[in-house]
Amino acid sequence: MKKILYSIILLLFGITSCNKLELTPLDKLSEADTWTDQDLIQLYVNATYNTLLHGFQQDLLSAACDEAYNIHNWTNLRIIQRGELTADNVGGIGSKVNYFIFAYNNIRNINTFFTKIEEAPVDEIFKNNAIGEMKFLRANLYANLIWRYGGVPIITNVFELNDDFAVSRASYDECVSFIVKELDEAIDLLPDNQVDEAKGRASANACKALKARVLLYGASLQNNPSHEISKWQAAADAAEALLNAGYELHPDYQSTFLTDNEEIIFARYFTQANNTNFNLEQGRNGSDGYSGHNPTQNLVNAYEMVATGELPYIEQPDGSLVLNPRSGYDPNNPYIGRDPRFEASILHDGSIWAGRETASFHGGSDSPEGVSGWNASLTSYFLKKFIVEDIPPAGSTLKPTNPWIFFRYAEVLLNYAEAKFELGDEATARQYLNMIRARESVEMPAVTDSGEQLRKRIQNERRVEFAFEEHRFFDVRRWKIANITENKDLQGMNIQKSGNTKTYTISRVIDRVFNDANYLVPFPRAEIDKSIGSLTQNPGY
Amino acid sequence: MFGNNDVSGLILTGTPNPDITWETANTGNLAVDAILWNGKLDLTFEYFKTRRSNILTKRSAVIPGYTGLVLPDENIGIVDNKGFDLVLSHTNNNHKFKYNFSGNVSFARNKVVFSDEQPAAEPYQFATGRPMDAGLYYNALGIFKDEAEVESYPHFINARPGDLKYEDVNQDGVLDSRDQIRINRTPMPEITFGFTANFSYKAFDLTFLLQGQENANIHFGDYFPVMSYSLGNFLDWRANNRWTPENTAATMPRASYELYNNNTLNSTQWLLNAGFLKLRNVELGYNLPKQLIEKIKIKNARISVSGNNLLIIYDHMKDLGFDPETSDYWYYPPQRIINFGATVTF
Repeated sequence: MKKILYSIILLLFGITSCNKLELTPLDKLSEADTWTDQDLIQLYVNATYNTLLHGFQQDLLSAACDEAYNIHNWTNLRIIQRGELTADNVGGIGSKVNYFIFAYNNIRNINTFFTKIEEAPVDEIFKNNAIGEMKFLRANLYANLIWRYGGVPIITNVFELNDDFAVSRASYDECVSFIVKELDEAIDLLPDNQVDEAKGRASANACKALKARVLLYGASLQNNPSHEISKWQAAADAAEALLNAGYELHPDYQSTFLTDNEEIIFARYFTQANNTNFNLEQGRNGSDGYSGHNPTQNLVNAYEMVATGELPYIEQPDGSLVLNPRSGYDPNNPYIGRDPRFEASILHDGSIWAGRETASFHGGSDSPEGVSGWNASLTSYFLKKFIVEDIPPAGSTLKPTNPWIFFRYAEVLLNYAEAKFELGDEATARQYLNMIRARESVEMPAVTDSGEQLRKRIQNERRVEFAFEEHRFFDVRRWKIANITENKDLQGMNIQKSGNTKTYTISRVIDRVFNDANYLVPFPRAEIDKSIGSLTQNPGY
Repeated sequence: MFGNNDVSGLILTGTPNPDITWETANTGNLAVDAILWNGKLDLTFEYFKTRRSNILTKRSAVIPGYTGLVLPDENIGIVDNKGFDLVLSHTNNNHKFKYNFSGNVSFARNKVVFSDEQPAAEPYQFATGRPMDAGLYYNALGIFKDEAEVESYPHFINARPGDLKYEDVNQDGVLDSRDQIRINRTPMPEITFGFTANFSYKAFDLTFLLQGQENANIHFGDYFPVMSYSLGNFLDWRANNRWTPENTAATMPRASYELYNNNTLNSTQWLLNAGFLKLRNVELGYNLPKQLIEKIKIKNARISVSGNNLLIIYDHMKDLGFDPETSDYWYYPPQRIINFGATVTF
């Protein structure tokens, strides 16, 4: 007994007598071990793919622009829709918008990889692939930073605690050059396509697709106010590089988002063990879903009439909408004869879905007066794009595993059309624009417009083709049209039923506000303060 | 997932700090124990002062986020804590009517001596010199009566009549987080006090306990400030005193559909005094006469009735309809419990 007591006392002394805590944790690996083991380096690269923010989350960026209204205000995107964004409240928004800290934490991890990989005892093929993937992933983080904030500090070193932290913002163009250089290097290191066991990893074509988007955004009015032709040329060339890379438009628009197909350039794949909860989050309240994102009437109005290729309404200079008599649109039967992509993307009152007619007229099972009314759509519309019909929102053990597409061939075509238009080659622009419209399941009349009207058609095509795919938030900003499109009420459809007659009235959901400052996202105020002058705030915040 | 398989990953979880070491504490105590007047008065007084230094905390206020550093704990914090405890008790067992009283009061105040401060923060926002966890709040001046009043004073984007009017503390004409002030009150009370009394007379005995606290404030944020129908019912005073176009001289902001708006920010409007004095516990007992029970071979028999949380003698939230010991208004307060007991020893 005494012996045990003594040893306890000795043990206590043993612990208290050393000044620093030196324990090797059992549930973690040390950094030094990681960089000497190829398998562990592989795991490190794998984890970095989580920096790609896919859309099967609660907070699609469509609820930060004019595509949708999120009734649950998940991650506070409504602050943006109300035009209340400030340097103080941006910290309360999810990292889809408040991207700064998220991005730089991950950039540091990638930079750590680059300081270690040269010395790591790994085989050459592995090393080149890993470097290529990490360059793509870092370029993607920087691209997403500049699309939100404009020019940002370019950091490729690994800061330690007692370093000098002063770094200033690089210009937008410097950032674009850096991203393009990194992607060009990655293209040389990676295979064109990743197949079999490597499917889902960054490929050379994924790098090319990202490069095309970065250059297109960089050539756009917001970032190229003097309309430098060389920037548009670079954007066109980057898109052109993927025109004959073996991709095709998937014939069926709706299933493009439900299957792995020939249109996908780069996507995030899922399994049952690693699924998404998207069907529950977006499903109709009448089927026990949460109907998170409510497509707006603003978006519904952007779908043309299939017979005439005309929009249902013509916008007046004061922003009001007047019925377009040439369109053939009937406001009493608003869902008849629309662009087929409307039916493929949006559930409306009367849509047959999962064996049941959607009833979002007031009093119907999918209305605020229906099942779990607090979960009802306030616009009368529900998301259909990306949603697997066979899996009910609630009560299913099976979860959706369809891929989230980051880059698809249709984007390459529209990027090319837009760049060609800006370069003055309207014939080519129309040709590529009409390829999108001629998809087997879409078959919209060909566009024959020119000049400013053609620009509007290209912009509207992008809006419709990529609805909810997290393009629009950036598109309206780079085109500098957000001060118009996002200063309009977000609208829904108010449907009243009496007997067998339904009446449709477009109604306001919220007063959407956009201030000029909102073209860029503010840095959190604390970041400006902490940088002691090296980080300058965006104008207007 | 790559190919058709899930893959695992490995992440870097933080930046190491090789210099980490123990927290240190210097403590000084001064105590007096006294028994006076033949044990009729018992006094204990203790004064204490502690300085804890090398407290592990993160330098998150000064290291820019673009460094990507996930900050480790460093030994940088210093906090002082001082105060006193006083216990006085009086006992009298010399009569048939026996009694014992004991009262205690303690006061403890802590003060942050070193904390990393955000550069460019206004001096009134510094945490240094204030209690630990003292928070930042906008100073609510009242409710905007009308559009003209909104326009005449710095306000947040989309502020409108019926919203809280916050003070532009630094008078720069712009309302932003620089106008938040640090308040020296936290939910942790600085003063706590109690009083116990025991009486016994023949076979009867009575005990009660009073308990109270002062210098504590609770912030009732969350959903309370918006008064949105989607959150269920609201208290009468919140509804009746709210701003409406007819009731412009209101003391509470307008009702709103939104769950977050300008009124939901942390402000002094929702920071309430959590001081109280409660009758925490009472017990009344009666021991049955021995002669009576020994006949049926019982040594001891006692019946009693006791109650917990019987009465709030005073509290600053009484008019508002909730208990200062709740963490939020829509949770149940401590429950009143009444026990009836019988104890039998054979």
